[in-house]
Amino acid sequence: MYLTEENVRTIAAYTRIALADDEVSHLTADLNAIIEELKPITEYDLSDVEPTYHPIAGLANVMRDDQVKPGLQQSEALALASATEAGHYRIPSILSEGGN
Amino acid sequence: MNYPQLSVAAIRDGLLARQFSAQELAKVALDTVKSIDPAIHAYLELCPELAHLAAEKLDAALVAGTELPGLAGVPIAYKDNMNLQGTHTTCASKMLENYQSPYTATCVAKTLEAGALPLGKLNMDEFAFGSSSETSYFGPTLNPWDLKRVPGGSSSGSAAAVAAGLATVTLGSDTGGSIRQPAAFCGVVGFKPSYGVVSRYGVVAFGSSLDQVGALGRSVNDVAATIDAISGLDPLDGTSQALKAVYSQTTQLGVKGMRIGVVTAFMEAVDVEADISTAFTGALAHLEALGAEIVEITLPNAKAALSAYYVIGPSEAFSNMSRFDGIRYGYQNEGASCLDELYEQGRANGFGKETRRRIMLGSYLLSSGAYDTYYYPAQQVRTLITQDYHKAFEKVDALLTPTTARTAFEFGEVADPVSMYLSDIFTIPSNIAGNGGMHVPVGLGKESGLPVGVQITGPQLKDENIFRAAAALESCYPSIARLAPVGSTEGSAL
Repeated sequence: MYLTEENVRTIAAYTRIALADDEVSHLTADLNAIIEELKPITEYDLSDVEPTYHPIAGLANVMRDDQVKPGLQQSEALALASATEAGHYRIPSILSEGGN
Repeated sequence: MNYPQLSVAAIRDGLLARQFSAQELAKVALDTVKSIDPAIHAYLELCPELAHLAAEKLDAALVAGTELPGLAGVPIAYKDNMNLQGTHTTCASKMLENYQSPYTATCVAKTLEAGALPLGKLNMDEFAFGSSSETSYFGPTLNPWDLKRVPGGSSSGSAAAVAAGLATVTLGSDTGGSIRQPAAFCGVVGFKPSYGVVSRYGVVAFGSSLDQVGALGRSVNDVAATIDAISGLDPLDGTSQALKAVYSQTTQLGVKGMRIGVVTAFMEAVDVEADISTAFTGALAHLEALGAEIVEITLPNAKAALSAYYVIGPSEAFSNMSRFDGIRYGYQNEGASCLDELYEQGRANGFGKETRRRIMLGSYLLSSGAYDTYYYPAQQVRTLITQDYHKAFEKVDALLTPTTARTAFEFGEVADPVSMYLSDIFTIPSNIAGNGGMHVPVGLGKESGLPVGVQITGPQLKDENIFRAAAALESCYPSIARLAPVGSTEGSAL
């Protein structure tokens, strides 16, 4: 057992995913079963091995001159939003007592 | 002339010989989808206006006598994680059900520049998290060879559409086998290039160090023509590479003198079905008979690739999926009383079960403690797997392995996530190391009656080796069925 139900509730809160009470035990069992399968990773002697974060070795930052080019217009970007107001995204209060 | 049987080259010849116009082809291709797709649900959206617009341009070019580009008149469709302006890009998720592409992905734009006719967008596992299409919010795609079975995933619609004759070629994306495994289950050619060959700009990200766009088709030559059209350096993707290879020019070279590696120890460690073993043995014998030298090699760390993948993939996915806030775009719950509630309810209801599970797994793996136990060691294991490949490709020019351990399974047959993850054991190592790989179909299994084939893997950024070996192998199976017997092909005549 790697994760308790309490751990899973904490992870859900961190990932901003609301969790129904009846989901917690299933999800805890699933995640523990998956983590058990990751065990081979912990059993290697990796003391002198450098990590590889990316498949293309030696890839450096790609730089270019700043050029003015057409891009996504404000109206196009806002067209995808559920709620907008005066050229801005409209969101509810950031405080829990609030409302709009 | 029956449209689903036409190759990329035959379409070009037909247009040049004025046997049909691009408009006629677009109409027949769309009508074929309309009549057959209800049986398999490969498509999520059709874009007839864009198809006819592309056809109009092409017919004008024919009249003007200008040289036809590489995919002239080729009916094509795209996995629904690729942006195409004028269509939705849903990733088969409720989260993006109403998302309309504000721009076009580079890989898609390049097919249009090459004269292809865009038919529509294809079903997939939600956000590419899955191997069966069962996680699609819009319902699964059915395997055209047996409607009780899954088409594989996550590029489910991309494989099924090609197998059923609902597109000549399709684009897919592959993070751990998502092109090659559905290609295997549906009996089509599916190619994941080396990381960096095709731009990822405009393709919704899953695991950014693993994702690669590729193509599916009914022949190695069709896929080569497609990759020639979509590959290359893109200023909008800093990982894209400028390579000189023209893949369609390598398919006639033959395998004489090529060294083909086999990894017996790795294969013995996996429970491979008899039909798959038979396909592998037969393909190996063909390659040897054509003059390839067969060399035994080892990949001692390949067995750790699966666990490394299930650390790296979800960790990168967790990071990529954090962009879905329901504010700038995407599903939003009505009536949230505060911002946190808006995020939490929207992401709970907008994402399916498997997506939520992967996000949470990734979050855990990157947390303090788990990072040192799993994430960092997974990146070290990645080094070992990459070194295995480097050593192997000092001795051989390509590797031959199975693509999957088994043929297509039935819906609901693989219910627990761990077993589902195991279905990618032969494809994952090349995503970890960044190498290219291709599924090559070799017919139907004797026991299962389902498509079987093999995987050819090449050295990193030397995908021409794969095309060379794959085309030679394909020539040994001239009479295998390339189209699944689904629906009626009436109305597909040109």
